[in-house]
Amino acid sequence: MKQRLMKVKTRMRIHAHRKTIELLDGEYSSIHHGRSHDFDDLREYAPGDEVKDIDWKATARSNVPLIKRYIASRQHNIVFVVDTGRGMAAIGESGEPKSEIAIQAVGVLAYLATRHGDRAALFTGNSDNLDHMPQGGSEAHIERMLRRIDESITLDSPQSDMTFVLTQVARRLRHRSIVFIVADDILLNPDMVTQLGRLHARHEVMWVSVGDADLMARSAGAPAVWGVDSKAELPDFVRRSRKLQRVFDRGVEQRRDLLEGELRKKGVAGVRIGSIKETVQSLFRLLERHRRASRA
Amino acid sequence: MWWWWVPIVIIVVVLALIAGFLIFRRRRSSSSGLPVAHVDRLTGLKAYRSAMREYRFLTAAAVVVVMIIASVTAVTAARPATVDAQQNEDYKRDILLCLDVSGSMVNVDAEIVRIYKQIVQGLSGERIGMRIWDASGYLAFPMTSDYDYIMEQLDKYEDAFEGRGDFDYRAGTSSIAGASLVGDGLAGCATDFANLNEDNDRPRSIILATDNFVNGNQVYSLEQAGQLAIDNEVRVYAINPAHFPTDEPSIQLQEVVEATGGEYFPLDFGGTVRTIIDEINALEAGYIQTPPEVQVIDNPANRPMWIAVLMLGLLGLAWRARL
Repeated sequence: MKQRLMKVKTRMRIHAHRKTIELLDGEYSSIHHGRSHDFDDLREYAPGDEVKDIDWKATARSNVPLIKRYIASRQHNIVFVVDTGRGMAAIGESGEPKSEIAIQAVGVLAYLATRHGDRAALFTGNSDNLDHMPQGGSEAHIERMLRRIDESITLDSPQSDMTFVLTQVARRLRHRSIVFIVADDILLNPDMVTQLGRLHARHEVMWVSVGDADLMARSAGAPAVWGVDSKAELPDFVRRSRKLQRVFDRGVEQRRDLLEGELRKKGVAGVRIGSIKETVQSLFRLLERHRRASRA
Repeated sequence: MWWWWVPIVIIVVVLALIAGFLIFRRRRSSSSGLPVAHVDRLTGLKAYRSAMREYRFLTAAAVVVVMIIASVTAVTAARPATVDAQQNEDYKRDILLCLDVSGSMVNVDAEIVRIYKQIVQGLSGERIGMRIWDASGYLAFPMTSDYDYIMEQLDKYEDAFEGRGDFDYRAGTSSIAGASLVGDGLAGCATDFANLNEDNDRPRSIILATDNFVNGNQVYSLEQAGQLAIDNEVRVYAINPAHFPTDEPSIQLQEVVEATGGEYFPLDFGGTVRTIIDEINALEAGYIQTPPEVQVIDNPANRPMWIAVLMLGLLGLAWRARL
């Protein structure tokens, strides 16, 4: 049973157009830099494909742009680093559990990886432990990865500690890889920036933030919320204060800008995903940013 | 009576425990509501801390108001009562003014009515009526405690005796032959009281103004009328404007009224009204022997109103704090 992966695919197809998924597929292939010259087959051009891969003769014969596909010279290592702190068990911006959003993002990317014959590995970690799942290329492997993420994130989990996780990953990841960091909606502290720099020096790194929920109650029927760290409910009186809502919104915007600024300074492409629905579009934007950043 | 506050203290303590438990449980509950991360995005704000102070203040105020409501409700539910002992002596006497309007009295009747008015002003709460007679008599006004009405009637008769206005007080006073029939007049007065045949706890008195100069055949002699008054437990006080110590009518009148337990006053125009009132009051006081009336009256004062006001306040606070 590949329930988790099935769910990821289903959601992807519900929320994203086929065209969008193809676009994402094209973007994904662009993160491959090295390629062999062993011709495999032809396929229809999708935006994002390298123009130089277009087989002009074949295109002239068939009336649709076709591109040449090569057998990958080597399989790429895709590494997912997933934050499994207790904050990830909370709800995200859309009201869906942040763990589900993380699983969707990892699932979509891992699914693309298997389609491209790449191998995916997984690091999950929080302040207490770091788990590693070695490389694998099968759908069963991805299913196991997604289940591992699901199981590791609970409300009783230890807190997030991306400094620790990134330090460990940078130390243990030998082979050059494409690293997707799926983190809680955190701010980068100087130690994290250092570790991210270390990682980025050897690997291609992309950052996915899973967006936090709005803490204010803006509609009449807004449900009660409680903090996963304090276990204390936030009083409605505070959550409905107009004045506080304005200050809060400014603060949240500042946080977002700070993270974006830090990532840009390091040359790491980043994106913030707030819902399962927008996962495909967000990942597309992420890969696009990454492509632009690495060409510049 | 020291124990009355014990249940209040118990109720307040229990309520405080419940409130504390609810607040504590609210803090520790994770069963309801959604989990959110990075609460410090909100709790780290300075504006949050001041909003939180306000919230705590409102909550504390609500708890205090609940306790006050509980205490006031407890006190009210205990039905506090006041014991009231009342001696309604002022409302016990029936007094009938009994006025001779015969020709021999015409000159002094206005003066007598003025004395009546002074007597009436000196009393309070008693029922007062008036009968006017010459050969025959009529009830000028019946027993009433409406003093405005009494004074109005006395004013009317005073004017009539002074010759002012066109009210003819004489109508009905000479339906039979004769004049100044004191016995018949007094007998009429003595039967004017209410509930004559029943047990009566209202002392009865007549203030009779006459010179006792009889002219004609009476049905009742003065002595018989006096006996009728005694039978009806009526004391007769007489005011005689034509008092002569050796004169037969004066002596007879004095004997008759004193036999009823009343008293005889010669009217001197120097004004012995105060004495008359005092003597009547002093004499009558002895006849009033009703036990004080003890009443236990629920006395919620304005506590129910306070409960309502506090409830409104509580609702306001709860709404404001969105509890």
